[in-house]
Amino acid sequence: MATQRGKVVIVGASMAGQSAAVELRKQGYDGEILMVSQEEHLPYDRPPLSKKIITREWDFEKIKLKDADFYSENNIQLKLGHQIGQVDPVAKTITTVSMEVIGYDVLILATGGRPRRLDVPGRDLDGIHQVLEYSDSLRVAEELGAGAQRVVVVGGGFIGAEAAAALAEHGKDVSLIEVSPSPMSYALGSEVGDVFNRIFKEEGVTLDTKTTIASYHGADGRVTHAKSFDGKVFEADLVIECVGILPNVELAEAAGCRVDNGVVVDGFMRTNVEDVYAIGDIARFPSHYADGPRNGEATGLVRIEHWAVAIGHGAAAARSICGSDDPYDELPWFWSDQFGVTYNYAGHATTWDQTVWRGDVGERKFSVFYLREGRLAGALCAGRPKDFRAAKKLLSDGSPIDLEVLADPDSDLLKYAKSVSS
Amino acid sequence: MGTKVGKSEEFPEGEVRVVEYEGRKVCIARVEGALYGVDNMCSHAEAYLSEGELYAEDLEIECPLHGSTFNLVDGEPQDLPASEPVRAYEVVEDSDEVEIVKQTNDA
Ligand SMILES: Cc1cc2nc3c(=O)[nH]c(=O)nc-3n(C[C@H](O)[C@H](O)[C@H](O)COP(=O)(O)OP(=O)(O)OC[C@H]3O[C@@H](n4cnc5c(N)ncnc54)[C@H](O)[C@@H]3O)c2cc1C
Ligand code: FES
Repeated sequence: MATQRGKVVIVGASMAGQSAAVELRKQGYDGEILMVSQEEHLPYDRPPLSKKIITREWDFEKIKLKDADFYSENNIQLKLGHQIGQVDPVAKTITTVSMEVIGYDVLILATGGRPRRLDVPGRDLDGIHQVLEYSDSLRVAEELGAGAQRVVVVGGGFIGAEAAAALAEHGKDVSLIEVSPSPMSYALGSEVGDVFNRIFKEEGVTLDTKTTIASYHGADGRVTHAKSFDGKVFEADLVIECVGILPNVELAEAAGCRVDNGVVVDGFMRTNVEDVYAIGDIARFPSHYADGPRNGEATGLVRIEHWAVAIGHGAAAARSICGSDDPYDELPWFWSDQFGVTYNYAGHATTWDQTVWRGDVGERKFSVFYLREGRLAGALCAGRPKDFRAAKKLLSDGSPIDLEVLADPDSDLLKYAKSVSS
Repeated sequence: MGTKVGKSEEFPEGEVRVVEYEGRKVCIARVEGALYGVDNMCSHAEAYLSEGELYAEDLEIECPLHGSTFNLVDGEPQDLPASEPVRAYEVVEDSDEVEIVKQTNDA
């Protein structure tokens, strides 16, 4: 088992890695902690990259997680701008791409993801960006600040939808191209997708769905327009490609960890390789919420790319290293900010047989409850905080739900959730 | 003693009011007669707690943006995404005058 005084090395200094380091110290761990990141920047908060960073409302100061002093005061060593290229789980070492060897007693892999790219002609033209790293978003912000006006956002998942919304709100001419019938319908379903179709059109975004970009075209090496598969042309001073994230699992694979759509871990974030943990976006972990409603002790494996999950994983790994038998068992949830509205979602519904709606969709104050076999599997709430609080409670308790109460617009759902909770 | 921030009747039961104290916006809530004060600005991004829900029975106030709730007594966040406390204040009433005495945590 992990020693209390050993050296914990964390690869990736972002949401998950930082959470692990901070929690280790909170738990009283007094051994060495080293966090290695290939990014040059101090650890920072990622969600603003698709929002207030590209619009230049915020700068790096606003998003850095802690001042440099914090790390020295807590005796957390940071090694920035170094990519780890190899791992040897027998010798218990990792090696940077510049061939520096670093020993560990416990290794935590928190390597997150890299952007998936469209494999189409013209993809290497200047002016085609992603927003997964601060340096990417900063470049987008600079080009927009220098006068780029027509923006094509490729991919209407959460990150693309947020970027499109933020830039449309800031007076840019935005086209959003989404391969499915509506933005975010992959996660939220087609009924909610229809709502987002309407919202983006109301906000003046040129929305094209059920197609994607077939080629990029440019002049003097810089993108000027993109063409979709159905032949439409989208003028572009700048393109933001948000077509998904590929988990960085190569190090885990090299270490001999089981990888199957993510690094497979147990409830304590342990991989099958001794003293190697995996957390955050790369981890495929057991969850009571994996298959919709919390259902007794049954668990399935899931990989979830959300902020609160990454933070929870980091804390769980730290607890486990310190000898706790308290596994990760949190209700997954996330938020997405678009056009001044926060959409909160809890649960992990991949399939459902019914939805119940409350509130006023036109006012963008509404909740959608996703039900499966009479139990709540997920809930999306916009501008209805009490519904969201109730939903989190109902999801964690997993009790069957009274459909009449849920559907009654006048019922106090929070009171109901409290009354049925054990 | 403290800094006067209003009259008792301006702080009705179960409601939240915003006052100025030492250059900061503080929201004051009355729950079962007692007054509680915490900073109005959420510690996560940028949102005013006074515009969120007050959960009187839990002595918590909820950020309207991403839904972190803060304990009214010690300013500690009860759930993510906020991870830092907001300032909490001792609020007293002295013959109809509401006063903030001091900050009570080290946020
Ligand atoms: C633009 C954007 C907006 C988002 N918005 C939201 C939101 O609104 N709400 C929400 O709930 N979630 C949001 N998310 C998701 C959330 O930010 C992620 O789930 C979270 O960042 C995952 O944390 P992580 O630590 O696992 O990985 P990451 O944050 O991806 O960090 C991994 C780090 O490891 C480094 N790394 C990788 N390989 C190596 C190596 N070999 N050597 C050294 N370093 C390495 C990477 O460079 C990176 O810095 C957003 C994500 C993005 C990208
Ligand atoms: S701004 Fe308050 S929780 Fe995010």
